[in-house]
Amino acid sequence: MTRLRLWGPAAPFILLVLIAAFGVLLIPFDPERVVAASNLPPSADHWFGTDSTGMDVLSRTIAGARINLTMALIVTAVATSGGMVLGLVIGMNEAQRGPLGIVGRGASRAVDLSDAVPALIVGIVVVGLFGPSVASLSIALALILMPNQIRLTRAEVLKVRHDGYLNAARMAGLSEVRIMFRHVLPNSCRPALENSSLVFGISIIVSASLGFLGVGLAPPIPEWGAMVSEGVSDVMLGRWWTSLFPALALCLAVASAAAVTATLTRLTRGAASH
Amino acid sequence: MKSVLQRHRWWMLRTLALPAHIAVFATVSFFLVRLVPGDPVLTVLDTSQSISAEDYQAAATSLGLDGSIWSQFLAFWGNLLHLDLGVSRITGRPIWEEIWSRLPATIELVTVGLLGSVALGLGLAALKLVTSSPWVQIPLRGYGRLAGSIPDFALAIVALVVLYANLRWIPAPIGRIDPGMSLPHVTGFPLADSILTGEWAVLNSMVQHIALPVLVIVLVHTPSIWKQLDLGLEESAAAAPTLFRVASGAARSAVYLSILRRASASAVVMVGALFGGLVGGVVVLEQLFSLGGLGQFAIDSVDSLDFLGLQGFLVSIAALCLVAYFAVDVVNMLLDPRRRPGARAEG
Repeated sequence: MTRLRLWGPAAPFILLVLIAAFGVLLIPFDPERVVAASNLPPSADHWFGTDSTGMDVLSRTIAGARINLTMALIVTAVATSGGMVLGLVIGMNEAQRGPLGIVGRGASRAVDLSDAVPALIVGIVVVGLFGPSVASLSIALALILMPNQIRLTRAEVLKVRHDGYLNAARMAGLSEVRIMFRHVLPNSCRPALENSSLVFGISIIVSASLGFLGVGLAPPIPEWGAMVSEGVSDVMLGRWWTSLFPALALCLAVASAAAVTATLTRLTRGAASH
Repeated sequence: MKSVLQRHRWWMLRTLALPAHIAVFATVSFFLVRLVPGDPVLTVLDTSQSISAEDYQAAATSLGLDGSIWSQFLAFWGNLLHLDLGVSRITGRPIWEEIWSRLPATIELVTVGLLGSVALGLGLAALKLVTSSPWVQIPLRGYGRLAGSIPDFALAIVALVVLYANLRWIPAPIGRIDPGMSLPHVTGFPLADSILTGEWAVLNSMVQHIALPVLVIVLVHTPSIWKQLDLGLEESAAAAPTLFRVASGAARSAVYLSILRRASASAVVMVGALFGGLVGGVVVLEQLFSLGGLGQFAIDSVDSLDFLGLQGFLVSIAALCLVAYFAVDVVNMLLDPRRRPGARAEG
């Protein structure tokens, strides 16, 4: 029962990841080929219909999970792990005298400032300057979503910095680096870990938004944002299915990522109490 | 004299910090353009023909990419102080004018949407306080969990399929007004202009066209604001200052106002952050509903590889966001004097 309550909220998300990983093997049609007449409404053969070029919308929607989720996964992993390490280093050093303290305080200010520019804008500018590639976009989004994780970890580090067990560890002769990673980090990583599901959701939204704006990855690739935007003109002609299904998939993906927060919270609380 | 300075120190210091913050972003965007791999000058030139050294030099000058990096940097700053962001490759007009002329429509859309979110957020907070029925509480909690995780354009498409394609309740998502009408121009803010000139037919048409995008903004961003407000209310509803007011027999409305004033700080921060995010981020909805606006300029710049346009766009958006944060800080320091720098927190 407790296991169900723990993993239940994460179930839709796990299913989604499985679909993203193995869905391409199960889909009925090639997602990047014309497989039938164009603009067919949903039917027994084509559950989600076909788009204006005659590609199968169901196959494309399933295949589309791959790109958005892979990017979100990279971004979340980099932003969260980088954010925790930087938050740890900044939090431990900013109150010190001397050059380390000055760098720490400067970095702390820079973190606050870098929040001023929204992720989508950075995405647009980076695509414009460096071209649309999974690598450039992932790095840019990871960098812009990192400050939030840094701030969450830093605040937590500032709370535990003067705890007794740290002094005990110092007196036992442990090195400062070991103390930081073995003793401070496990006690201050919780908020950033809990927030990582939100980071995941935001990165899906931003990458799909870029696709929707036509500045994301190149068109023949199945990508939810681009599929929605290609379908907008269909909606006006009454062909609702081409953009509705990828749009719903996007909403469900983001909502299922948000639901994981409950599982993450319980997991980290459980780990902290042992 | 000194006491006047002392008393106004809190907002003066914050005001002085604003240009410094903007300068940081201008510097970052300057170097970002220089990090572009390859030679940006070649993207401007027609590389199918041979390029003379003079042509190359002229193109480099027009992009601000001639001379050493430090002379470029000085020139960039000199121009920036004159609000000269360069010339757009698409239209040949100054980038500053392009941005300035598109800004009001975007700001108006965002402002109307956020005012709606604040109103709905206050309404939800009140609803949660007055009722304990699980039929209200559980959906409310679920809605709050969606903060920051509703993709606006996906929601808008679903709404378009239902409200436009099936029910025909709203007009086609093409433009701000019905085709054939023309916008009056006084201030550049479309809604305000049609009210000022008394063009009621235009106003009516515009309201129908932007109703759905505004509704989407409200639905997507209310949870973030409401969540902050709710947390604040829970904290301050039973706090000592509230009890003091109740005990000293203050009127009910005075008690409520006092709670709201203490509870609203983080919600105000959220509104400021959302405003900054939306001025650039609403481009997705503007594109979907063909409303034009600031983001359109950025998309066009991406399509035509206009580096100067992107640089100008980034600096302008960052400046706007920083002004929004500045306003948030000042509002919060007005609402709660304990937030002023140098003020000592009581008890």
